[in-house]
Amino acid sequence: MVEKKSRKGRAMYGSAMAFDPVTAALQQLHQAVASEEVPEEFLRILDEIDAGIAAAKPSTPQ
Amino acid sequence: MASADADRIFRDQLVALIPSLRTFARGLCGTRDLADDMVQDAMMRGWAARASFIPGSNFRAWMFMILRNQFYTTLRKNRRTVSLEPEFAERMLVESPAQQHQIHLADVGKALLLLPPEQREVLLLVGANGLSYDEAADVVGCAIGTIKSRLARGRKALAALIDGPTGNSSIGRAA
Repeated sequence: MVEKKSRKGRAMYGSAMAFDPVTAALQQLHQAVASEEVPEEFLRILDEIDAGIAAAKPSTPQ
Repeated sequence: MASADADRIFRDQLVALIPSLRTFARGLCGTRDLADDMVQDAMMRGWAARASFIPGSNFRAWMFMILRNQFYTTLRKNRRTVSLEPEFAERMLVESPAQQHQIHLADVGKALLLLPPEQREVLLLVGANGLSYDEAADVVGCAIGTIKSRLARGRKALAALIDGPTGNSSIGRAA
């Protein structure tokens, strides 16, 4: 039996919700990806972003 | 114009969202490399468009929307079905918290790819990434009621696909 305590989608995430294998499997899907090391290409993008931030002048009063 | 402080906040939000964006993309297209390419493109697009992001509004929904657009653009260009990577599939064996059933996440990934994209994306947004109905509706650009109905249909279809024709798994009965 599946409880319907909340109309929010977030309730699918809640621990108060009865165990639902479909939701659990989808959450595990997320955890499987989240546990992976972030690929090098992502770090390069972040480096580019960091360089852009560093190059930007801080907002100072004139 | 965005200040360096605002840029740093934006950047930190982006970093925190990488796992969720990768999950969404992987579930949508089924392959790691293509998914990561899409996420990287979406990150760059988001960064380039950061001036248009309204601070205090929903950053997560905003980035998911960019990634979703990226997916459909890629889908239109490629028009091909992709399959789940065996390496990824092999690592995705999980047990339920009750340890009563074993569900191969590889099966979940494959089954997701068999669903219509509109159901798949809602399952990934709400079920896998924990977005609220409101947020998912913002990302997809439809009414909350549409999100709910797609989620219900998607969950039912996913359970049926995982159960198989015999329906001898518990997953379908729980949904």
